[in-house]
Amino acid sequence: MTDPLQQFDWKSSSYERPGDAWVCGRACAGAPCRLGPSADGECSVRSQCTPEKIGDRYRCTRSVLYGGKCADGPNPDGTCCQADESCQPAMSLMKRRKIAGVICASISLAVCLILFSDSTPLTLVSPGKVTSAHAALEANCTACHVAGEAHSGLLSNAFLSRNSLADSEKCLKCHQDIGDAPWAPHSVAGHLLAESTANAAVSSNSFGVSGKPGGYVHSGQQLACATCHQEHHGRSFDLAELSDQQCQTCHKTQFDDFAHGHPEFENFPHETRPNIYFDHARHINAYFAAVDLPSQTLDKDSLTACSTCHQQDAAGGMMLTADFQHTCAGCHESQIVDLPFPGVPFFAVTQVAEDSDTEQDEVSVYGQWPVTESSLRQMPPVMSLLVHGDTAGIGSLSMTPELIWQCKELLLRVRNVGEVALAERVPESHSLLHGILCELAPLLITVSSSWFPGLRDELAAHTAEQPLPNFPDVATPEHQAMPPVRGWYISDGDRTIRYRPVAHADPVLRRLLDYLVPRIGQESVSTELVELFTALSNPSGSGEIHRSGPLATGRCLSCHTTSTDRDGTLRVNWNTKVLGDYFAFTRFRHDPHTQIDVANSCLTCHQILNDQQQLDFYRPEYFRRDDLGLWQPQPETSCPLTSGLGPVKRSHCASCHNESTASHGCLECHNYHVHGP
Amino acid sequence: MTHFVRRRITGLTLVVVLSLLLTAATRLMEDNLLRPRTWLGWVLVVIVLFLASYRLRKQLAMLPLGASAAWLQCHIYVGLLSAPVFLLHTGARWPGGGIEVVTAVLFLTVFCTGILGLFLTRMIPPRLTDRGEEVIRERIPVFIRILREEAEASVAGAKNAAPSEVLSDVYLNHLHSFFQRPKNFVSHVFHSTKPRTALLNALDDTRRFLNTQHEQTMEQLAACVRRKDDLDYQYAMQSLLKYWLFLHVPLTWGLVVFTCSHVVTAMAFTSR
Amino acid sequence: MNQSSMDRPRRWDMPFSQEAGHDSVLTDADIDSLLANDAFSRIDPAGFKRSVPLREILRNDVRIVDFEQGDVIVRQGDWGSSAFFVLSGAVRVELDRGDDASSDLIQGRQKKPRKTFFRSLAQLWQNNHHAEFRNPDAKQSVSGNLRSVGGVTRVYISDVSAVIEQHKTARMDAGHWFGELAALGRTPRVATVFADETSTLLEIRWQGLRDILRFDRDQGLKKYIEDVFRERAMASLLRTERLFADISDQEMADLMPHCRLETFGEYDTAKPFRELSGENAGSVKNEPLIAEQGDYPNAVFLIRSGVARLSQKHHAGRHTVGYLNPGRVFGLREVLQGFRSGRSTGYEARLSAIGYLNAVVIPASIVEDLLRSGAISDPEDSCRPAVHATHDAVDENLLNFLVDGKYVQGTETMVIDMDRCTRCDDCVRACATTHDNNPRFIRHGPVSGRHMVANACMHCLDPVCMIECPTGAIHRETLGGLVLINDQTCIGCAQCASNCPFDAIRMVETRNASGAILVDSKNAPILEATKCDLCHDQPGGPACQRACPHDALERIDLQSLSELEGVIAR
Repeated sequence: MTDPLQQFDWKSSSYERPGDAWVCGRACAGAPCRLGPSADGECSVRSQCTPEKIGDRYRCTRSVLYGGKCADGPNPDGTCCQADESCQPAMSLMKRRKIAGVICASISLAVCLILFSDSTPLTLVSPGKVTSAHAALEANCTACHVAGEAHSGLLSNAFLSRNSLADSEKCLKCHQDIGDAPWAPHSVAGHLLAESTANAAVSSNSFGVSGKPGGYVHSGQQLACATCHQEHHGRSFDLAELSDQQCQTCHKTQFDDFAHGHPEFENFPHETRPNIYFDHARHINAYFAAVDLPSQTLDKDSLTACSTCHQQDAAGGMMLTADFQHTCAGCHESQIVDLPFPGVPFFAVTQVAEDSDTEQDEVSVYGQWPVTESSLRQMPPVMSLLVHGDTAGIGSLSMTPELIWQCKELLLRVRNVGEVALAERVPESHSLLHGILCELAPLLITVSSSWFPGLRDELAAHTAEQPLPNFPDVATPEHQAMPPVRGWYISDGDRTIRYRPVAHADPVLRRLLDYLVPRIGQESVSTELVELFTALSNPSGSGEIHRSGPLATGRCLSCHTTSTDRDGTLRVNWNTKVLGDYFAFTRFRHDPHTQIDVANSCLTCHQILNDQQQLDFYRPEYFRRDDLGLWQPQPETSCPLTSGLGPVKRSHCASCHNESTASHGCLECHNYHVHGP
Repeated sequence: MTHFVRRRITGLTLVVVLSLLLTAATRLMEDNLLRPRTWLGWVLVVIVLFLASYRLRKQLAMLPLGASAAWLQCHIYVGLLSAPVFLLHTGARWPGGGIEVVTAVLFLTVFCTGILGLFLTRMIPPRLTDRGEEVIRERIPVFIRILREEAEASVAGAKNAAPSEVLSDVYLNHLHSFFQRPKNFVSHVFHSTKPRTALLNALDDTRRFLNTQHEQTMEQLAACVRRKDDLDYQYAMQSLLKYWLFLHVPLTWGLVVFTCSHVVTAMAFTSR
Repeated sequence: MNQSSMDRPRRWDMPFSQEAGHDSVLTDADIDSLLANDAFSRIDPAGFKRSVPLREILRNDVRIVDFEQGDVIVRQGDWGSSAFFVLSGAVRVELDRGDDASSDLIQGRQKKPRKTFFRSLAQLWQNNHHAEFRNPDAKQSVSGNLRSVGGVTRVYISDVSAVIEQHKTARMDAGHWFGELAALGRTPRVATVFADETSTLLEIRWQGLRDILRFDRDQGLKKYIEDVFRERAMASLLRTERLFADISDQEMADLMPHCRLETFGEYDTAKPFRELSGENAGSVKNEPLIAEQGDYPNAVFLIRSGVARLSQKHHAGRHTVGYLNPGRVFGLREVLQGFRSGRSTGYEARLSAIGYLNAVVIPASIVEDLLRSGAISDPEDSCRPAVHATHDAVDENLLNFLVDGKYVQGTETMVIDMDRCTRCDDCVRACATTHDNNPRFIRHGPVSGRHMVANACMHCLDPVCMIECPTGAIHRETLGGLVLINDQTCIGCAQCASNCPFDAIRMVETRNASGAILVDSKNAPILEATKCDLCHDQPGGPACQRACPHDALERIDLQSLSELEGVIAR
């Protein structure tokens, strides 16, 4: 056994000082001195001594630390004989590691300081590429970030409170189509959202909003765009990705997926009010099956094919209904055009009211007033409106001498200045009527000269309070019940100016209804307007007040429904429904679906309700006249006005849209931004 | 089961359970649009600062701040936990920005060197105990010098014996440089005894040219070679135990600086 | 010039009478009157060496201290290194031995002056830049006239009569020695002593007492001391053994005359210790034999100080099966077994002294008599085994290593598990941080298997380092028994460093604030002994152990193996 290399006694081994910064320069060569370098890295070896002079001799004073007294002793001149053996101390491992740490930290700090300096483009601190849509903005941080606007603000921007939507405001510079409340949930103002989901929330509690901690409630809280859209994840990152779970952050009723728990389409589409009353079941099962179809344009086979009436739009997403001429007209046009309807009276020389106390000499009181046997007893509403001027609502439909004079003044003024005279008579707000008045004016000019030849003189005398001049009576032709023409015409027989509808979608009637329907519900509505509407909307009305008969006027609203706008105005639905508003939240495209089962594609989803009860489409109890005289579907009855089609079944959708096809996510059908693209 | 084994199992279990909990929490927050990345970022900042503070604990050895061993245990397991947190924070995506890439590279390097260090500190000490005399690394050059002097003295010959020329040649050709300083670092790191065997063989090959007395000298030389080789082994292994810290510690400071920059930019540019 | 000159400190640079808090100088008249006193009158001054005359011993190692009534002079449990002689007045010795005895007496015990948290933290920047900095002025002012370091706080008992009523006490009048057994045996004080009336006491350093004992031809004092031990300390020592804990005073009085205080090996020198731990390490043969394995158990040994080895014959050699520390008993098991079975069995193991051993020998026949008379009862189940049970964790190699190397002396032995140690030196750095930037141990030392006993002070039960110290600079802290070096009284003679068998003490060249090495007028560096102080002034305890990141370094009390077992079994 060899001797151990190291010895432990205090003379051979002194303290190791691993924490010191310097080690003896000779340590590497295996001969470190006992003292070691000083704390400042200087060698503390003094191999040379300062010899001590004792008497005339010098004595070595070298301490044992440095080798003790040397054998040779000091030089004769008193200097030490030893060579200087000091070394250049080396850095210890510890110190080197510290220096490495300082260097590493300094380089990092320098790099970071350079990155954050004013002269460095801010794009260098970008955390990654943006999506290709935003790529053009990549070089300009301030396009999206408030923080980029001032370098000095970085720290304060990072740690002090700031407007949380400041960055989102920048998004809106490009994305302007998000609506008025871009950061509200679904980009819909809170009250509107609450309103539109109220039904759902009450009926099935499906779309209620949760109040759970961390969830966003639509209590006016606003969501920054970056809540969902997180950028800087590469060119092809899907910014709009949102998981079903994330959708349900807010929704109270949580469900697993579309197939499990999603609400049924229980009222769509068959409980949805159609724009045109059309019962598919009735038509297909009862009418189209009948042998004696009156239609000349459609054959029996084409009638039962859905595509006869419904075609996809050019984009293919939506099913459109073909126009009247190609569909309903085949059977229903004759019901509109061929009716024995004399037309709606607009001006009439009516019977003077019996109860008038001016008995003495009628003609001397109101002059020429060529009443005939078949003259109307009451003024037509439009005439009343014009005669009374803008004192709407107080006029009476009965004719009095004063009114006759006003009538004559009106006629004279029309003769003099044209339709302006009529326009003056109706308030500005009734401008919709102007078109009709323009058409009425020439007719009035004609009758003013043919029925009232001495009109000017008569009025001049009346104004001067002189006796009225005499004029010969106007010839009275025999009254014809059915005029030979359509459109405007003058009926000399009963002294009326009438309008007889030209065809389906008659422009005058349409204009009249467009004018009347929104006003009917209003409080300041005049009696004339109510009367006029009553006349026009009565499906069994004659077009004349208090007289019944199969008149076409009321038939407009037999098929065309009315509905209330968001702002509360009633409008007539002239066209078939285009589901624009609805589809803002839910997307559906017909074309991909019709490709799957071409043969029977429509009926796969839209099942015709063959239930007998549903077939009774036009039963009187389904309708009522409301306070305004409008025909309305009875709300109490479960399904009074339907398209005759059953609801689309969710389970049917789910047969494809399920986990296996992975096409059952919320975003498959729903848009988050209801006002957005 | 010993205390240390129990401690290791507890630590690893805690790390696994915590990472699972964090993963679940991340999922939950993601589903609720609560930005788990930001939250995880702060967790990571706290972790990095805690891990870095172990250096401060060493500096403050005089204070009753808990045993360094306990700190190291926390350091190791929190360090292990930092990897799942890092993955959750980045979403397992490689970052795209300059600062982020550097921060990620630094983090991963520091993490990997930490794992390497853990491996080394657990593997090397038993081997050191196993081989050669236990010496202080700083003193190894001294012992090498002693061995060199011993070897040279034996080659130079005893008082009353002429030196062997064969041995002198072998010493000059093979052993002189070997005895100068610590050698064969790489071989020792990989536990190769090839250089040692080669030298001993070179010595042994001279046996046929030597008389009995010189054969003894040769044996002495061989003993010196073995002891020197053991010293080299000690030097290589003890150095390894210190060198890995040259990556781990300095890079940590770089990581701390870049982490701060990342925090500032992320907080400044995020849309809160 | 990188050296700074000062006077070399020597023994008696500072007389005992001027040490910490005392400033009375002994005049020649005082010494003359002392020499006339009973205590010294019979000593022949001619027996003393010329360099250490009796007169100088008295001048330098003795001080006269006045105590008011109730002043506590020594406290039970303290480590004392001086003896007292009552010159006038009287003192009272508190005789209760329970744990809670005289709790009111010792409540004023001096606490270790630990650093506060912030003082401790301040070491970060207040530590001296240079290695081994000492303030030369502090040392020179000590060797001058007056100084006040620490200032001795004296505890006193306000109501002496109440204490006398509540506790069993004994009065000791003028002309008596006390404290000499603790001072010489290097054992803790066994009783609390306080002044019964205004008293004047002579206090002598144990070095002085040792020299007197050594050179006194008459040996009167030595005989006196042995008698006194039998009278005073034996009872309390015997009562530490459970068997005798409850016997009556009368029985104790009967028992004591039969007991002998025996010393094996050398009593007052470190030499055999040093030799044993050197060349012949591990050879049980050279150790002084006390009782041989297989011999008839005719005595029970109660160890008072020192450490004994237990070994069993194994083929041609011997197994070390354990060791006994002070307070342990050898042979009782065999005696009890013999008493029970009526058939005598030999000693189970050989008992040999490691270095020296101080033990009370109780004849077996006396024990049997006591058992027979019913004065003590045979504790069948709980009899302490003489031989350690086989230890799974501590194998015999390690046990041999610990016993042969005398590491079993240690109460704070630094054991490093080299399979866990990464040689990071955190322990050394931590040590330096807490000691003004100077490490106080070296991470090297003898290795057995995977355990290294590093060269750090073990704070031995019997600190042989203290034996030759001429100034008493190396001392035991009053509470807890830590061995500390007072660097203001250390003269750098290197006796302790040479005496320490464990290379735990190292001499260093001291430096001044600018890092220049302090030298004396002959340019020889001023050395100072340094060693581990167990961070006694730090709030957190030993920094080395707390700084070890790998659970490798432990400070272990080897008085019982259980602590070591706990560490090894982890």
